[in-house]
Amino acid sequence: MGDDVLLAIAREMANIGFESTISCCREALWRGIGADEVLKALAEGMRVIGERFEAREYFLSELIMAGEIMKEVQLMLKPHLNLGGEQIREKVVIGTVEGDLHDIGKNIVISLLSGMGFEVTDLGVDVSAERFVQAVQEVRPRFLGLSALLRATVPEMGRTIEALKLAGLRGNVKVIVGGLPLNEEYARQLGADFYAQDAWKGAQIIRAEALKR
Amino acid sequence: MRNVEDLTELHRAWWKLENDRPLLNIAYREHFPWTWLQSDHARGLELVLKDGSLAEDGSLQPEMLAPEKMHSTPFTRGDLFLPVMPFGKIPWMEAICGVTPQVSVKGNSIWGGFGQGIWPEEWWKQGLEPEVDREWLNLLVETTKYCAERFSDHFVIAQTSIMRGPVDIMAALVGDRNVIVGMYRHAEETRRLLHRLADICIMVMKAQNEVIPSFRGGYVNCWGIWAPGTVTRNQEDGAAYVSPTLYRQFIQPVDRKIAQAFDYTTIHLHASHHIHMDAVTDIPELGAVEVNLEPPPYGPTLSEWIPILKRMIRKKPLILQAWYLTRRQIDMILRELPPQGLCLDTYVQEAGESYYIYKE
Repeated sequence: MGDDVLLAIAREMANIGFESTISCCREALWRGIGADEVLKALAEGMRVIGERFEAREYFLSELIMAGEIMKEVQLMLKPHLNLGGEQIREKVVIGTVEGDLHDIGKNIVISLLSGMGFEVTDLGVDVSAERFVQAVQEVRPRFLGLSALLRATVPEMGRTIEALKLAGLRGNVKVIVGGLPLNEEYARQLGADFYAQDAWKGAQIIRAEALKR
Repeated sequence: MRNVEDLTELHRAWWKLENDRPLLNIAYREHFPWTWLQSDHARGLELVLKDGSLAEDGSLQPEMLAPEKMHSTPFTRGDLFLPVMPFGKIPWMEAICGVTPQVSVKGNSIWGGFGQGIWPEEWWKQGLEPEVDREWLNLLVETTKYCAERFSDHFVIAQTSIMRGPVDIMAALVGDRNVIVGMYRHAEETRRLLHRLADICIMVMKAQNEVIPSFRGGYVNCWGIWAPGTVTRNQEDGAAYVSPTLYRQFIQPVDRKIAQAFDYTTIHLHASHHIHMDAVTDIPELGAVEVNLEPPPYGPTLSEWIPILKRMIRKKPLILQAWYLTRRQIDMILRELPPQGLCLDTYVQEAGESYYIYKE
């Protein structure tokens, strides 16, 4: 029982219905459906959103709203979540590298990750390598996200990764780089562990890695 | 050799999609901005005589001249005038709307806020109104006036080059994320704010126009295109992350409001805005569209652009700007697009970073 409401959650999520998704989730909890089941239905909705984004039926605005819905639902589900479930409890530190002030992509990744349950520390824009290193020391995240839009600032990513090595922290953290001027090969040259072509992929890569543990 | 009148007539025809050849400025960037390769400059001497006619070849007598009518020929770059305008890197509009500009020396930029906004998260509940910062407004007007007083002997004067539009100002006030959340969840409050910001944009544009001297019975925009009436330019960078549906619902009406307030308006767009090109060119009162052709992955390839540009130029004059294009790419644009309404303003790739070359 409860399949109808779970289907509705997935459908409303896929259609970026803010109020309707939340009300369906509330209904599911009221009917006694487990929070883990609700999360699975939301994940199905998110899968459709990803497909529509890749098919260019959805745009960044829809990804931002998907993240907003997920954040809201996470708050509702938190008290009901089974600790042994698929819930993610990893930490991510993220920022736009020094010299670059663009943060839309980064902010969407943050929104999506927060919605998935990650604890995200946003260092903002124009972040120096030293500040990234300091944050990794303090927060001890499993993932470090470096973002850039300008080609001229991409080498800062390499400088940050070098600084992590010098501080003896490189082995403690998986580094994911994202931004339009990059590609897979460039990311490898910079010494990153992962490359994200866009905000959606970035969040998916981090999620998949987190679930491997 | 052409004189200024030829040039203004070419520009007049361009706004009407009636020019028989494109407006071109193609320069070699290596020695920017001093070596312009474009040979067809409007260099002909143009001297306005006391009786309003233009001086012709032959002798010149003092009684033929009047102090108030003597001007040198304004500088040009290719088929475009070279305007002088207030420093464009200052985010004037955000500052005028209360967002303190942030300097980033390494980023070579001055930013109107850093993505998070300055208003509280629940701005929509509190009935907040943007307040005009008179100090910034006065500084912009005074700077425009200074440009006119100091440089109008040799240059045309234009509005500052980066006039950000309602969505960008809203993003600076409430944060990028809350622009989208506002559109989805607080549509009425978002619309009201965008319209208020459009009103402020119009007020600031008019304040600049009041101190810019008319040139040949018209004005010149920041790209150096003359028009026989008032001009302005605005941009909506923030529209790049908005779906086409949201653009039509929220942004197109305020872009139209601005277009209705002036005779010849132009919207500046980036390659990533290609999804909105049809909606933008649907604005009846809009004079022209300027597209920055950033290369992939920032936007489509040149071949992918061509059908989009063809659709656009049927409806509006187009200014195409690119950091670098190859000769072949320039040829492709000139071959594929009609001259009527086309203005190409770019650099040729003789040296520099091959990264910026389009892959066709």
